[in-house]
Amino acid sequence: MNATIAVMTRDVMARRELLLLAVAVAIMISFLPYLPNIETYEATDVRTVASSVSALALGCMLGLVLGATVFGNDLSEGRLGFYFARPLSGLAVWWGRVLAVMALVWIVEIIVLAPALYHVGIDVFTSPDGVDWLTILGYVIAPLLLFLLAHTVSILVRAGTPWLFLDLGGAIVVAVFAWLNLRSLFEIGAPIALWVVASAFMAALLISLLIGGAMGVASGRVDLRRAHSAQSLALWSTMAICIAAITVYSGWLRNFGPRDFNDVDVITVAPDGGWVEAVGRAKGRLDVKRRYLISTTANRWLPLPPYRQALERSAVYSLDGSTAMWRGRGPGDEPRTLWWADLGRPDPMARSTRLLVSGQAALTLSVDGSRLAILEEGTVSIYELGEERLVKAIRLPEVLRRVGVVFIDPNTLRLFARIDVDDAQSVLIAEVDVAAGELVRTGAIPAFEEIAWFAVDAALQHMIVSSSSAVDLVSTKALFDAVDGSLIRYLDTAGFPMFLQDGRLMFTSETDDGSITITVEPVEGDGQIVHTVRAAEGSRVLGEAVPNGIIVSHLVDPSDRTQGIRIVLFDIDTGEMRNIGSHLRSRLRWFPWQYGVNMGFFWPCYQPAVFRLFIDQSGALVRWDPETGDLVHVVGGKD
Amino acid sequence: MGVEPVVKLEGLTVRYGKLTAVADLSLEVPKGAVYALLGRNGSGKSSTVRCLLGQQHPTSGRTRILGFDSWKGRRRAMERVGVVPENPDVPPETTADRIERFLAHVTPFWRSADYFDRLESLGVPRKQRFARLSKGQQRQLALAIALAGSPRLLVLDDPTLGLDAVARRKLYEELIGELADRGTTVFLTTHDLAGVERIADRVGVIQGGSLLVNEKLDVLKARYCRLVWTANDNISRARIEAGLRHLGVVGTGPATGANEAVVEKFSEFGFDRFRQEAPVEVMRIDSLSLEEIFIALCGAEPGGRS
Repeated sequence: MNATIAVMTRDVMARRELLLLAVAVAIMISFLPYLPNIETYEATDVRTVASSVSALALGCMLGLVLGATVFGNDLSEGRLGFYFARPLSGLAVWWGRVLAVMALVWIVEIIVLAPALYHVGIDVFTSPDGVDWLTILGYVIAPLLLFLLAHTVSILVRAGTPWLFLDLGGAIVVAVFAWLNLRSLFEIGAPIALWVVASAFMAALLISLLIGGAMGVASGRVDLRRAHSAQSLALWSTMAICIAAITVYSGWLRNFGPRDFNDVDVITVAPDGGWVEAVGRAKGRLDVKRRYLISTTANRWLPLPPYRQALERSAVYSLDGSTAMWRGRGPGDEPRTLWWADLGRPDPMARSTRLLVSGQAALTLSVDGSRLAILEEGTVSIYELGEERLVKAIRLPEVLRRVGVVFIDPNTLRLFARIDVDDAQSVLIAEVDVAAGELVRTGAIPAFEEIAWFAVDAALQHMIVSSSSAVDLVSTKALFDAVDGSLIRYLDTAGFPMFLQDGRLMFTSETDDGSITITVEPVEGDGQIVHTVRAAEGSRVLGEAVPNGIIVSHLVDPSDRTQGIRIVLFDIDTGEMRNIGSHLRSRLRWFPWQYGVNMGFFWPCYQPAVFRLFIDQSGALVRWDPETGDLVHVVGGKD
Repeated sequence: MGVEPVVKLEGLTVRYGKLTAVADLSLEVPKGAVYALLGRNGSGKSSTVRCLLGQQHPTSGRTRILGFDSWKGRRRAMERVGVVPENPDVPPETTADRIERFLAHVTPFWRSADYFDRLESLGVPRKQRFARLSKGQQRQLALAIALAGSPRLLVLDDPTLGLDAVARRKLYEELIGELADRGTTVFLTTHDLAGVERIADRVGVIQGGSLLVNEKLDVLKARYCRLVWTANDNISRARIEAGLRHLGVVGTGPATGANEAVVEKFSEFGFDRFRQEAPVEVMRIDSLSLEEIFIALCGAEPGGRS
């Protein structure tokens, strides 16, 4: 240690003129605001910016220059023998000189930063979010990294031995591994993991360069060629170990199954509730999320491509729940392969198809899953899924906006689309005759100033249209025939409307005192049933979980929120409440459409199965079994 | 059990790619000896010295110094080894005063008083940067550094390179004084054969990486000599050459009105045999200087790599 300090002290003294240079730069910066054209700016800002930038630039430049010369010049000029003719270890020579360079660089940076430190103090190293570690690392680590890189390159260039090929090969391998690891984390949208692994690569590079340099000096001594070989061997062996460790860690971060989930989000649910598309995190895996298609009744799952934007890339299901389909892995909005699985098999397997679709395409499966409709770039293409055969492609009129299609039967699709009529909007209803390849208009609703959204019932017979007026801010809701678009009646019942599975309408409104008013009425409007549920603060209707049974959540004790939320089943015919459980929450990312169609403003009715899934206190996904009344663990919740 | 030699080279071989700079070199230097390793430029002297000092790893073979393996035990060995390199490698920006502060920290047996006394006696300025000193002053400073560490072994790699006659003499006087005081073992390489003849007691001659001669200087000088003779026409050239074989003839040639031959195995017995076989009239037997012996040994050989 004493030898290292002695070498460091000697080298610092040998280059102490650099400190004078730094003082000169700091003085120049102090006078900078008085220069013509610059005097118009705030003097404090000029000095702060100039000294911050100059300090970093000077630090990096010194790192580069000293890295290229401190050992390289001495080796080339035969001066390193001075140290090796003394009772000094090679490591003392290396560390002593490296520490000397870094001490000089850091002192130079502090001197050049002095004008900024004088004016804004320690704020030079802070940002609005707190301590700016990136800036501090820039000042501290960047010169060191540049010093080590310049030293390494200087030795390999000066020596010019065949070890150069190992250096080139090693650099390529490291770059490839870094790219593969970082890209895979980027693809799955895990910025924290990406940052951690990228930092690990930087640290590995720094450590490898330090060890490579140390071994080059300690083992090469005054022999430049041997220094190069020792440096290359140590550098790339250390790098190989580090890369192996980082790759294993990165792989561990990325690869985990539903059994490892400790936090689950449900993205979509098959209409029969047998399978769910879920995204989960696992302990220690930072912000990495994995997406799986998970059976809610059996211990089975299928891996899905990395989760990034659920809305665009969610799985779709056939109405009978026997088939699921999803897009494969791929960059950006590039077309990607369609995958599907027969969920009705005891042991479903993911199967790829030859079909390519863009991220914007809407997918719809027929009721039994035998046919697929792809709505993409103004064309509806219908395929036989098993044979991957195009049955028919139908070009849609260009006036149609926000088109949605739903299979009525394998040969017929119902189409809903917005059309603009002068300054108003309407919804066009049509049917696609697959065999004939024709689009047959069946009707259209009257034009409204602006249509906010519309919802269709499970039987595709009726639709609620919510319109609004930008002029008088009045919102209107009306019920239409979902085939010919004729107006059935305006809906003046208070509350948010939705269809029940039996086709009736339900309106829910929550009040500040915690009570909920639930109004159920048939399509015709006569025979309203009104319930006032006096639950508690925070009460909310989630949806219909079983025929005529809706899920309501409310705080167990409004005065003690730590007691969490209770979930109850409310019978809309009898008004009875049945407790399902406490400390449960609904964990659905997006609106759970029955038909799995994404049309922006088209809301088909909700699926009951969705409302039978909850996240419990441990973070696990649980399924409520209506027959037994039990909550059955599906996945997750691991500590 | 014998005394460990201060320097021991065993089968030292150094190769640079396909070029062999030092080939299977073995030698020993006992304590207190002054060993001069001589050779032409590129003969392998500097490679040998670097290996000896543990600064370069040999391709094969071993070097030991003060009982330590030169490579593995370099740090320990260097505690008692003083080095004057071929090109003084003191950092150019430093001064004699500043370098003393550093060396005093890292050299266990450092004697500051000796160092400063020697600089004063040699007239080396203490406050001047090393790069601004004259070549002679640089070498004297290097010698002062080497001697201030109380060395048991002094390794001098061509220490008189580039020095004028006065500076060379001064350096040798300094060295002789040091040797007289402490009996330090010296291992040196040089081209200054006249100078080294004054101080060396053992000599090695290296050529093309191989050791041609390795013995005491007085023995070497005793067996090398020049014979000058005249012969009448009755004595055939073949008889003379046969006779000279007993003396290990190295080269022959005409002298002024006579013939001469340089022999490497001169002895009374051999000389008698020569006279019996070739009854010539020997005019004189000259002893050779170290330089003449060196030229006789290496004059015709091509140079190698240093």
